[in-house]
Order: sequence, then C-alpha cells, then structure tokens
Amino acid sequence: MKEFIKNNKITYNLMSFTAFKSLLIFSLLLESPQSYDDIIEYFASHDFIKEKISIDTIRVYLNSLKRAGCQITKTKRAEGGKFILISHPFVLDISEEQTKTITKLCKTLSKTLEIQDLILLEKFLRKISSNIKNNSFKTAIEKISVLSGLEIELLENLLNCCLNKQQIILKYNSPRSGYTDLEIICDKLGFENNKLYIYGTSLDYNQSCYLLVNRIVDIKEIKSEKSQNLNIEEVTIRYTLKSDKQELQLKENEKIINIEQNKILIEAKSSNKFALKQRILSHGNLCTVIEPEDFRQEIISTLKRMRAEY
Amino acid sequence: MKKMCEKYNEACIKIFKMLSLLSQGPTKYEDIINIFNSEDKNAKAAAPVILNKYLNTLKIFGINITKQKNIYYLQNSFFSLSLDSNEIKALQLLKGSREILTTKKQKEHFDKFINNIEMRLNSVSKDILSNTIQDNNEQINEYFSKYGDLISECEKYCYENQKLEVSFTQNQKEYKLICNPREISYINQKAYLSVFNHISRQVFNVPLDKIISIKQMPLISKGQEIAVTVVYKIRNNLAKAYRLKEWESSDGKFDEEGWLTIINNNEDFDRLTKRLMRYDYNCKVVSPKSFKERMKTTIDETLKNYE
Repeated sequence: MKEFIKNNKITYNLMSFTAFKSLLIFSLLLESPQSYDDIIEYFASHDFIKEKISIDTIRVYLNSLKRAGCQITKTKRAEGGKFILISHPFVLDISEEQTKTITKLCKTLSKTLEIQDLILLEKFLRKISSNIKNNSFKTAIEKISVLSGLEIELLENLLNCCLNKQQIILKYNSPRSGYTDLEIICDKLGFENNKLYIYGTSLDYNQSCYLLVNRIVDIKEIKSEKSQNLNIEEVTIRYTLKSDKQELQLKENEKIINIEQNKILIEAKSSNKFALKQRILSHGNLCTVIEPEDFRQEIISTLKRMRAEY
Repeated sequence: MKKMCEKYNEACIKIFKMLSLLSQGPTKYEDIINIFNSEDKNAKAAAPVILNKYLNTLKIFGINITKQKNIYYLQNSFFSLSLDSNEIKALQLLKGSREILTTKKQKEHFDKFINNIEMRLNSVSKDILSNTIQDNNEQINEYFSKYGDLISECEKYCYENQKLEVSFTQNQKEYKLICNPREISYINQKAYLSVFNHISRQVFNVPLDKIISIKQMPLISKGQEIAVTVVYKIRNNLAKAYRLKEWESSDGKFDEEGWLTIINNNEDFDRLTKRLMRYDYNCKVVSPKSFKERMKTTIDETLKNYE
C-alpha cells in the first residue's frame, strides 16, 4: 500500500493514512458501539494497517470525529465502556425546498395514482422519512398523505384480498355497534371524498357494501373458499342525467344506455340500494330516476322528507 | 479539564469536511480545493497534490468520486440505504412523475432529492434500480404536458395575488368570475384553480380544462377573504360516523333531537350542495339564509323532475 510519487523536491504519500484510519474508526462506529479494546483489536488484525494503536491515539481520533460533526457518547464502564455514534453529518438531509417540492408532487400523485401505487409510494416515503435526521419531512408528508395513520401491512393484506376476491372476516370498529366481526367478499379498495374504503359483498347483509378502511382493526380470517349460492338481490335502475358527456364520471357499476342532446340515460346495478340512493341524490336536480317505479317512489319520498326538514 | 480533549487530527477534519460537502450534492473544484488551501504559498501550490492524496484515500476505502467539468460527484456514501424492489419501483414512479412539477426550480429541487437518495443506495439496491424500468406514468404525464403551462400560469397568478377575471364553461354555459386566486387543487385526477369571489364570499374550484381565458387585473386585493360560513346539522348514523373535513369544526355535542352541528368554511358551494344532498333527510342547513335557500331550491327542482 505504501506507494510514493516523486517529483524533484517533495515526496508525497499516495494516500493519507491518518485520514484512512479516521474513516475506519468512523465506519466501525457506524456498524455498532465499540470499546477501546474493540478498536485496538480491529487495527491490529486489519489486513493493511496491522498496527498497535494506543488509547490516547484513539481518543484523538474520536475528538477529531466530534469536531467533524459526529455526536459520540460512551456507555458506563459496567456496560462495557463502548462508544456510540449518535449522529453524523452524512445522514440523509432533505432541505426545506426539497420537502416542499416532494410534498407538492405527492399531493398531486395522491389524487391521480391507483391505490397499489399509492401504497408503494407511501411505504417508500415512510422509509425515507425514517432515515432523515430532521422531522420536518416526515411531518410534511404525513400532513398531505391520504394514507396517513393507516397501517401499511393491513392495507397490503386488504389489497391482496381484493386482488384475489377473497372472503374474509374483519374486525371492524362500527360507529353504531362498536367492535364487530364482519364477513365480506373483497372487491376493491378506492377513495370517496378523500377517504379510503374497501368495497365488496357483505355476507351479513347479503348486499354490496363499502367499509371505511380506517375503522378496520384487523383481518381475523381469510377463508380458503368462498361461500356458494349467495342470495344477493341486485337492483337495476335507470336514470337520466343532464350533463356534458365529457364531464360525466361514471362509476364502475354504471353504463350509458343512450345520449340525447344533453340528457344521458344511465343504467346502474347494485345490491346496495343505499349507495344507489346516495348517488342519485348527489346529482341533485340534474337527475331523474326513470325505473324501477318503487325506487323512483323511494327517491321522491326521500326528497319530500328532506324538504319537510325546512 | 481533560488533557486530550484539545488534541485532534487535521487530516480527519479535512476528509470529513470534504465528504460532508460532497454529500450535499455536486461540488465545484474550487470549493473542494479551498479545504486544502492555506495562507502559506508553498502549501497552496501543494493543495492539488494533497487533494489527490485524499481522493485516493477515499477510493481505497471504497468511496467513489467522479469528476466532470470541474465538478465532483459522490457516487456512494457511508450512509447506505437499502431499498427493496417495491421501494425502488416507488422511486422510479416518483422519477417518472417529474413532469408534474411546473417550474425549473422545483425540478432542480426534485433532482437533488433523487440524487440524495440514489447516491446513498447500497450496491444491491443500485443493481435493482438499474434493472427496473422507469414508470413514466403516461396518463398523468399526458395530462400535465397538456395543462402544465396553464398550471404554472395559474401558480404564478396565485403567487402574485392580483385579482383575476376568469371565464370558464360549466354544463355548456359560460361564466365569468372576478376573483382572487388561492391555490391549485386536485380533485379526482384533475387540476382546479381555487378562487375566492368577494361578492358572494364563496370559494370556487374552477376546472383547469374548462377555463376559456384568464385576465389578470392590476389590483392586489388587500381585503380579508372571509368566506361565508355554512352551518348544517346531521343526525343518526351519519352523525355518529361523521369525520370532520379539514375546513370544518364541531363542538361534538348532540342536541335534544339528536342533531350534531357542523361549521363549514371554504368549501366550494357546488361540491358542498352535492355532498349534503347525499346525506338526505339526515342533514339540514341552518345558515346562511342564501345557502339554505339554495338547498331548498335544489330539492324543489329535483322534485319537479318527478311531476
């Protein structure tokens, strides 16, 4: 290792051994806490160094590392008298401007990405946050994340169940009845008004359902087989909507039957009448239910009850 | 006083100073050489040789530094980050969405962030990265390449905070709005210009793809933007399960009839109307009178559809 370059006047070492040794001590401390004896032994058995280093010299190196921006503490003698590297200048440091840019980008992505990709991104950002020395990045990301506060592992499991259309039993914190076990056949995860829901078929109510993911405590059981012969009654409705076709955002259970000028005839199928009703009401005066008659009457009576509240 | 506390190695300080600079991103030769320069003329002349010595030290230690056009780039770091294939996929997804950023500065900050991470990847993660194809997020990029200029134009308006005259279409009708720009918001994969209208004291979210023109006026609005506060009540399961929006508040107390009062600020009235309609007779607007009338009219007109 000891090579030299020569010019006419001065001879320089090709490398700085002192700097090299300080790098070695630093990397040793990065791995784990070290005592004087550990460091002495390491230097003595090092392939290139192979030298005995004194405690005083180690002290000088440690002082130098502290001056270079490392925070080092020492455990009590009874605990082995080991040096611990608390922090150092090379950890990931994200500036305020970078944080602003990334949060802006993620805010946009959270409204545009599919749930699978959102989970990937959330997991990645949480990992990066945990490796950053200041907390501002973590706080900023948590503030804008649509998955903030949700357990990633649970989300991944729910997503898998949806992809495989599995039948599961969930522990759910219901606002009405407290902790309840619910059995559903999973369909998909999706957002509605910035809240994440799991959509599926409820075996307790024999209809399609959607549950707020942040109320799901746990997946208690994943059934190996799905129940057969489910007696699920599906409602098909038809309604007209006064809208520009380009502005129309159809749900997965909806399809366009006819377009006449600005009136679009839409057919929607669902076993969840409540969800259908909510959808119709949200369209307000732009929407009229055509059929079936009983559903039409239900909407009219709901509207009358709404009006009566005023 | 501890005797040895005062003693330190100059070589150690220098190499860490150098690494610290390089860790912050690409570093100019002048900044690096300054570490090794001193007042002494002879030492100044030797600085490039000393720099080489330190570069060799790092290389032998396993830290690679490349130099291009007088700029040094740190290729790997002490602090190694281990990312699995899914995390690398997320990194690529992020890289593929760079076009969403509209200004040069934002793109620079983004590149620095990515560089900060990639530089710290361990060798296994680097291998995965080189074998993973960048997800170009085509659908999003297509939208942003179409509306990117308009988004940055609107961001500029928001920053300058001058009054705007925005013309836009909605349900095939044309509207004009004198307003104050607030921010760009994203709803259902679309960008909106969020504005405040002083006359109606309402917030409007104008879809960017429906904007016909924007005229910037020389006036800067200094008046306070106090939006109309909508107070509404909800009951039954809806009230039990309701989660307040960021812009809402409630004392959480149910009245004798089981109603919970919600105070709402800053929500686009069109969106709020749609939302409250969904809550059917489990919701009623208390104030202001104008919004209460609007709800009543919406219900009446919807009922008329069935006559």
